Amino acid sequence: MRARLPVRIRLVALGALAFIATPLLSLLWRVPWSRLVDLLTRDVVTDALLLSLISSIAAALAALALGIPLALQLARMNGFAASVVRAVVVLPMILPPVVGGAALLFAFGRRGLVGSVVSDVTGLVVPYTLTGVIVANTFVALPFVVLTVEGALRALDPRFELAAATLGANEARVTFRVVLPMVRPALIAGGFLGWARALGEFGATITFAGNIQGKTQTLPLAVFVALETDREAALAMSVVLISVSLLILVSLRDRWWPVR
Amino acid sequence: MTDSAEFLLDARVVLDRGDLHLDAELQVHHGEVVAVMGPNGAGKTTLLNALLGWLPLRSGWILVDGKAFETPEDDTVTPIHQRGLGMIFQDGLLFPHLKVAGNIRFGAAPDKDLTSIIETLELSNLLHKYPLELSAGQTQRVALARTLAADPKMVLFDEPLASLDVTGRSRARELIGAALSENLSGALIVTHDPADAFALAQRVVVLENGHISQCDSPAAIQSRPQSRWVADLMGWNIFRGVGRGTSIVTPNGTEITTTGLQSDGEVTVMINPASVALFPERPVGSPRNSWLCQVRGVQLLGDIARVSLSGPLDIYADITSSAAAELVLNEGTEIWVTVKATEVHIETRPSVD
Amino acid sequence: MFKTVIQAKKFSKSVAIVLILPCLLASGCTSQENALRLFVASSMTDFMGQISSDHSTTQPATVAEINIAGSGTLLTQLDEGAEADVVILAGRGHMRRLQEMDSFLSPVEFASTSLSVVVSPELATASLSIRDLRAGELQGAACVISAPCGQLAEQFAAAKGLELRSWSREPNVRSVLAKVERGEVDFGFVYRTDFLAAETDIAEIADSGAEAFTTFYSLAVARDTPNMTKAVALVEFITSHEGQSRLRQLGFEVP
Repeated sequence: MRARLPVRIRLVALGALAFIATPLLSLLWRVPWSRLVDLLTRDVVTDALLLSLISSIAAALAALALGIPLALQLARMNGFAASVVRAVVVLPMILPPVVGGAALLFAFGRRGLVGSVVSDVTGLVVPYTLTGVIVANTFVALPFVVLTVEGALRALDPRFELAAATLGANEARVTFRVVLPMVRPALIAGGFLGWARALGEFGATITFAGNIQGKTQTLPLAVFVALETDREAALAMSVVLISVSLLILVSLRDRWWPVR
Repeated sequence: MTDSAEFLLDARVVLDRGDLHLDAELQVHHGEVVAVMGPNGAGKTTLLNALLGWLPLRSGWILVDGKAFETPEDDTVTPIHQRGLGMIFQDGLLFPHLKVAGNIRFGAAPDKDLTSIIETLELSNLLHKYPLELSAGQTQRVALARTLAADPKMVLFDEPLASLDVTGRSRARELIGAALSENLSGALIVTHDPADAFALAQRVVVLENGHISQCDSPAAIQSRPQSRWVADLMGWNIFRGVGRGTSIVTPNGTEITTTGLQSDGEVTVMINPASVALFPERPVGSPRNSWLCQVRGVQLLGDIARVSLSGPLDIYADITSSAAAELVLNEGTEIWVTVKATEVHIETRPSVD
Repeated sequence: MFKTVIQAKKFSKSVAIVLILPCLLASGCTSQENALRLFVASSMTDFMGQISSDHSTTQPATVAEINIAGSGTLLTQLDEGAEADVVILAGRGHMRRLQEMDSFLSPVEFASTSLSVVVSPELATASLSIRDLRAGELQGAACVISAPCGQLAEQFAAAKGLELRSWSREPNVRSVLAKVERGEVDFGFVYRTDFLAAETDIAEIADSGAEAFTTFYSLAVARDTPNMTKAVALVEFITSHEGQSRLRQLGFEVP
């Protein structure tokens, strides 16, 4: 039996849990449970929920597709170059999301560095579309994937790659049959952290993709709008956000968290 | 059409790694097993890693079966996965996400029949298990099966039995020997255990501080060690002293007579315990090295008795158990210890401290 | 519990800080006890900025704590317990809601502005009309419905038969203006005063009929404010000749 923690630490831990749980419980306490079904079947809510699910899952997948190769590369780098790359990757985590959204506009907006070229050539405009939402969400989710996966890759004994190579496996086979399967828990964890982050994203979405019901108004945006005009709908949608997240996190138990 | 090459492996590895400067040339014949022995830090693992292609050569060459894998002058380097050199690691390095069967099959050609390998290494009832569930001995057998299944031209072993306990080791040695003789390609075994060398290898290469100090059959190494490290490994007596004329003088003033003229500097003396003779009375005749010592203890090792003695020299003597019984050796018993001058060996290749 | 006197002293110090800090942060203990607390609708940003930085006038806005947000947001904050001495809101509906709270004195209406449909600098020379907006190929923006500008925009859309489903709804009118100015959207619904305050080459759609849609600004003083003198002084300034002429300069209509 492990020795128990000192009382002072246990009390603070309890306080910390209460600090997180209390606002959530207060929210649930204000929800008009009797009218919940009625509130949830409204257009504005179903539109937002569908958009949120589609865009967050798409963003998680995009973040994995882009993040895993970047993590593989970063795990092989050392010294100054690695620090610079890693700092750039972490930036979307530190920047206020609204700043991130503004930056995305300056890059991919209609008059942006890349966006203007794209729209001149193809006529495609990314902001104010579902694509824009997915871009904004991927931008904030990507660092989670890269950091989680890179950490796991660095913890791997590099001799496994050597062993695989001596058995005749080329670089592709080593990566796909040995390295990636060995960090599978981190891939899953990174994907879910990225998905959770994308689901809750507000600032970058509203700045870059706008707030158009049925097209770019995800749940967080819908809650923000409803908070002033239709408080009960806002609470109902908050409950949906919390329930969906809890459902998925709990059903995965400890498989989504990289526990040894 | 070229003739098949004279050697299975012909290599000279020259590289620097941290403080170590490695410069070793060796050849392995077809069907031969060579043991590589040496103290820690000598460069044994570095040598293997260079042969595999994990570390680049600064100069030298690597030819396997006549094909050049690496010639730094030409800048041609064959990548690791195309060299056909199998490797057994000290901790096995089995892929944890695959079962034993999956591990074995990893590098094998799709249609290769693996039953003989599995049976020789007694793995038939382990195939469905995961590496986490295996003991150290089982892990190494699976590692060997995995390597052999990939049809390597040659197998390299890095301290394969180091993580096994004594009984596991002898059993593993038998199985490895059997597996190796079935696959006659050839092998290089890095080990620090002379028992491995004796059981499995036809030749021993001693690597010390990046250089090869001796290359001979196991028996020759044992009877004619050329460095203190090898002598110590084989269980010899080792003394240090200063040369004076034809003798060596130890720090406490004892003189050990040798057969040749010694230089004046510091010298290391090596005496095989089997060359140390014990007499109840001072012997007459040739031995110029005679000292009166006290018996400290007697250790019976099969039919050899190892007698530990102290006095002008603290020395071990290996005599037959019947001789020991006759001499009546109790703790404190005084006895004459003699060593022929011809049996006093001087270290020719100094070991690193 | 404490092994040394030093430990005890350190502990009491940290307890003291932990207890006093929230008090300091709470509005009741601020050092600016006498400063006027102003809540201002975001479309009054320019006016408020002007009078608060002009020290040549004698009115208390120069030493005031000013909170600017959309009118709906301000009401929510007040609802949740925020305290203000003077509240300036856009839209009669919002002021009615404020009056329902029963902690404010009767409001004073002091200015109005009308809706304006503006287009981005790229489209400024294209002489667009409302018909072009109906076609649905251009991207528009308007405030959320909780802002009066957003309500007006929706009324306008209903009157002119515009489809508003594809508009991006922004939290406040300055946000709409910014997007139009940067060309991120093609057109937007702002106030006339915002159009006049714009620094880029955006254009207004002429003869749109938007002038008919008006928002009225009123202010109200809190019933139990400790800064009654200052509040009254501010009201007097805003309704004075000077205050009214400044508003007119910015493009507001005054009664």
